[in-house]
Amino acid sequence: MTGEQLRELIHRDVDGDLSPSEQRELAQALRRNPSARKLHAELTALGTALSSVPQVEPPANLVNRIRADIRSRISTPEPRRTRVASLRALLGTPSVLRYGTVFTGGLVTGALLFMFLIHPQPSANVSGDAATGTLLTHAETFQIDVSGAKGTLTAIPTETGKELTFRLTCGASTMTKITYDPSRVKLENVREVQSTGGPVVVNEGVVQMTGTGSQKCTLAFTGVYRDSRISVQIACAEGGKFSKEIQVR
Amino acid sequence: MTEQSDEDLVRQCRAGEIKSFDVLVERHQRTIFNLAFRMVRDFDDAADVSQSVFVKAYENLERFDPQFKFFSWLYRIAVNESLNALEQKKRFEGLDGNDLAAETADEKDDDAVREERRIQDGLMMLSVDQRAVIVLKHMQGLSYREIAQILDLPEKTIKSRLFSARQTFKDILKKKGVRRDDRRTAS
Repeated sequence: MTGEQLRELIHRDVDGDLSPSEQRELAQALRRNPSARKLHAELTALGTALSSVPQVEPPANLVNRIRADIRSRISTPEPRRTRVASLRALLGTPSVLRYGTVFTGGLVTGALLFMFLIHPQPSANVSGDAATGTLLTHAETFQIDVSGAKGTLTAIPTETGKELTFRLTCGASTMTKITYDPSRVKLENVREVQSTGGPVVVNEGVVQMTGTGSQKCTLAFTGVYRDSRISVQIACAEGGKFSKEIQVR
Repeated sequence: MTEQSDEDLVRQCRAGEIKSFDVLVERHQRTIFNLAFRMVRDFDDAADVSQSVFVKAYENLERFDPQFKFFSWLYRIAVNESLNALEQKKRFEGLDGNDLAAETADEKDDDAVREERRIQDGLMMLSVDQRAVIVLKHMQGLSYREIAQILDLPEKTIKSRLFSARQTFKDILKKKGVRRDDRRTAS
């Protein structure tokens, strides 16, 4: 067993994650290795100390504060499902509800047919010129509605060594998670909440990368809340061209 | 009478029964408050974060995916809101919480209070990523899988982040001269 494997076993033991055979394996290793024994004792004590920290009583009025806040917000626009419930109450009798449902269903079907067959759109979640693979020059600005959605934005410079700049701005009160490859992308002025190579939560900032003509720069985004939106401006240095691709799912 | 599940209450709430959401608030407010408190340290900020968590959850209830546990979803919002609160505090006050981790234990405080304060001081010296996994694992008692769902990261990443966080935390406490609670481990 390597030192790294032993350390992992020790940590997993602290978390109560070992199988009986792994526990035996660890016990044997600890008998042979005093420094591992010391680490095991220290981490076990730490785990115990952390778990023993008492719970804090929330303020007595917290529940009432939350209730009042929610009720003040729903007095005007209700959540969508609530509106369905209200509609049901308004329509009253089951037969009226049935005919109403059929009629509404017809309207919705018609609208969908119009949207997708008669009036096709490149992506329902993207405003501005965001058609897949469109060749663009200089700069392009558009918005991506990322409400509860995941997606990727990829830009590919068509010439070698052209620097691409993404200017990303997310709504101040919304949470939009943008992940990127830190080895390929330089972030400037980015308000970063999480980091260390993992996903970064960004509210606003500039993302820069230098493409080589064949390299792609891909940013993945997740809209955590309703109305999460990213405003994106992609600019290519010295009038270079680039193509971009947006996928939202 | 049997207690209604979170999932049932969410369903009722989506159908317009706001009182069902009140039950969810009652049920989870203490846990969410404690998570927020360990993340942001400040009592009032933790209350604000908790309020914001439930309001956001209510407003986005239609987006909740029932294949996940409701409390995991709440936790996720709570972690994000805590990070937002810390970030705002940092922006407005130029503090990141570490500055608040001053040794302020009074002589009159008993051992348990001093120990808790030392632990919280140590927590605030971790990065927010590390703090989140330590709090979720040790103070909320969640599994690797649950933490992975909450933070939207692979389980493997959670394990390695937790292991390095614990190592860092141990070193921080050692540097700060934190007493190991021998009485607890000996008993």
